[in-house]
Amino acid sequence: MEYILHLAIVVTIFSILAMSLNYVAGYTGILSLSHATFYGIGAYATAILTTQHGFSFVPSVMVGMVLAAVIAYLASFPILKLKEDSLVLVSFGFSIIMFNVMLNWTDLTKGPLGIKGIAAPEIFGLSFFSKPLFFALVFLTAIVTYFFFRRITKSPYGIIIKGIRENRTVTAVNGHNVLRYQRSVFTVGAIFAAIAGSFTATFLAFIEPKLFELMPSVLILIMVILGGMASLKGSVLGAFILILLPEVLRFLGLPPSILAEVQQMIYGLVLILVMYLRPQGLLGEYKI
Amino acid sequence: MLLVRDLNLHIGGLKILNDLSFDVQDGSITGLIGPNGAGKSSFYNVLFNLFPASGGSIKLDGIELIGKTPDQISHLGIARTFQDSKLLPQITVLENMLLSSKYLNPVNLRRVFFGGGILSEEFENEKKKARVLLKKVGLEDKEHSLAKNLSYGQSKLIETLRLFMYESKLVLMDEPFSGLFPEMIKVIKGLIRELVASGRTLMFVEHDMKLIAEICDHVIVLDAGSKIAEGTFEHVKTKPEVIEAYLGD
Amino acid sequence: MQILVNGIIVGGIYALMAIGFNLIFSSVRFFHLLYGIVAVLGIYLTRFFLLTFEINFFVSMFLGAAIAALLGMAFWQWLYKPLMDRKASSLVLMVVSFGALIMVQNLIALIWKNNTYSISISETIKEGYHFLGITITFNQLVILLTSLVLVILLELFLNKTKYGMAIRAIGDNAEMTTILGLKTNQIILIVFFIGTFISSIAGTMVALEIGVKPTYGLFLVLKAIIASIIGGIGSMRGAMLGGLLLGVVENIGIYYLGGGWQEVTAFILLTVFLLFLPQGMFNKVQISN
Repeated sequence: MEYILHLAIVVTIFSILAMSLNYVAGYTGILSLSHATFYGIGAYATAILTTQHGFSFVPSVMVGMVLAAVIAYLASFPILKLKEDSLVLVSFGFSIIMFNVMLNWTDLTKGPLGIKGIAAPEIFGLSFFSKPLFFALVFLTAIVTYFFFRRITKSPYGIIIKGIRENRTVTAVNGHNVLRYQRSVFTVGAIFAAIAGSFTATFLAFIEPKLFELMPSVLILIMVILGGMASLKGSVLGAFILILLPEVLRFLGLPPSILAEVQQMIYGLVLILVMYLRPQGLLGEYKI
Repeated sequence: MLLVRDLNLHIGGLKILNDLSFDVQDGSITGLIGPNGAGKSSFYNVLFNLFPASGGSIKLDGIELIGKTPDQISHLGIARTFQDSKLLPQITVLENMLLSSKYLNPVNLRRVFFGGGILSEEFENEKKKARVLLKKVGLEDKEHSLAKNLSYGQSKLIETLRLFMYESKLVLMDEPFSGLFPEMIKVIKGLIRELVASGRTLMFVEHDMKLIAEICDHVIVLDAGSKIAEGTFEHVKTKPEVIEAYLGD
Repeated sequence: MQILVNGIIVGGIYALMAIGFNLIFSSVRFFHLLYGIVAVLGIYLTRFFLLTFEINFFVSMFLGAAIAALLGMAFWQWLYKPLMDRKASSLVLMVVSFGALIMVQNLIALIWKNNTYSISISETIKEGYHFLGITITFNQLVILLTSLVLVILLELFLNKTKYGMAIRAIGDNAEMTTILGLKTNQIILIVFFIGTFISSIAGTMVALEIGVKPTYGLFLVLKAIIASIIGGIGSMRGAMLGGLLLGVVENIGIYYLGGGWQEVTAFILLTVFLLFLPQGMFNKVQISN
């Protein structure tokens, strides 16, 4: 039971990440490889503020959200100047820069040693130390996330951002300030990634820069692509499949020494297969 | 309505538009003609600041367009179509129509979440309007099809139809008839008449001289980025430089 | 001065990587991310020949590069071409390429473990050379000479042979190649062979300095991409200068900021170029809007 709950929590946290990246990449067409960076900013904000500065959980989450928003907004200036392939590269470069900051700014982040002893969240005196309660909290957040993005994407706002994804010139000529929408989307996506990061920090009780490197960004993007671009339900499905896949492998008796490699090989294979067989992903209709 | 003065567009060493000057009268239908590469579509692109002009001025009812962004220019009351139909392929027909609607502006997150339902009410109204338009041309069953699944003619039709979603003053059309069957041409001609009847001023890029003669009340002839003639079609078609430009091509 | 020399040596390798990458990019027009990991595979094969059969370093390097190059051709024929024939976008091809990169990288990790291995030319460590207050190690000298020889050979090939001219033509004009009587696909196969071959040699040069690890694949291809973009993608001369500039700037960065910030310097350089000089130093293809 403990094990299943653990998995359920991981799936839910990644659902939040995948849904928010889908908003950025699937709906608006900003194929960003820096989502794990904002995830990391949230995680570090909570870790540092709660362990060293006596903050409680909720204010630390808020600081993380604001920080992610500010950094995303600033980063959006160079990133959004580009499109498609070069945008992917520069967003990736940005995540490498931020990863190096986490790694090298040891006074703040303790560098590769990571931060230990992050306490479980406590909200209004109620501790979420027990797994069922923690799961309930994360699950509720995921539901809120889902309806938040659903509301946006079903509104006229959703039509405009999808228009931007399809063709920026035509959307601009139709009277929409493309860059302003893109910036807003990129920033809002980052804010939700930061929330997921705060949860991860308290859930694992320990974080290190490696958790927010390139591979997690890629993993989240694979979830979005596999589930289907511009499909929120698809992103949840993608998170579900890609988190459970390695567990299935473990059950099949794969030795733990090669598990990590095989797992990543499967991620690579999934990418290739989806592009070949179903470029719109499992539940999506938009093909990249 | 529209005053173009000494408009230039130079890209690299090429003079795409060369000291172009002309007026477009209120309520008129002005044809922009000339051989391939004369700079007709480029003029539209400069007007919308998709290419930055190298010099000159374009004024709409006294307001300078040069230096404004495409969305600002659109908000001043100008709509356009593109030569190769630019419906957005991976969103639905209805969404394509709604994208042109100006009530959507500005849609920000504050209005999405705290608009008190006004936004969604307006949204429904616009959807109704779009559906009425689709019904008029018999495409109401295509509402939820992705635009990429439409035939060429259908997407041309929608491209013209969505001009009705916005109360623009000036409409720039880029070869709305090219490659269409006669029946479809008739439908689009009808739509164009409606656009004019609703008080819009029209500009046209078109190759088919018969259509130009039939529809336009004023014609501007471009060649290699310069205006070589202007007047009624009957007038310009007799001019030697016009005949030269077309035959010498 | 020493920084400059070190920068030029590293930059020479980047330049080689970038030239191979550019060659491929200008004929297929998508980011072939697998490029880096195939080079790494070449390094592992070189090391394998070196250790198993105890053959000469240069022969091993040649063999490793040749096998990697054949693999490069195979990837074009069986991974990319089917998608290209379906007119997939460059983004799709890049995603596929990335998926394949992850697979190959982990396959290497499964076979050879996830450690850093060093590779060396001879068993004894040769002394460095000193002149004018600059120190150059034996390895660095080999790197410098190999880079030079390869660049000259490539220039000759591209400018003096029928195939070379066809390769230069294909990026701009597919018809031209048919006029020369060569099939487009043949040319692309040759391009993949040459490009991968160069990358594998360049990779081996890198390994001489810092060893080899499965994750270096991504690192190498990124350096190639950055160098290509700042040089002006699609231009051979640009790739070369871009590589040198990247090497020098990185070394200055290391000197003033410390080794931890090497990647940061590289990407900041890239961002500066993309923002202010998006067509690079020698533009052929505009890559930003």
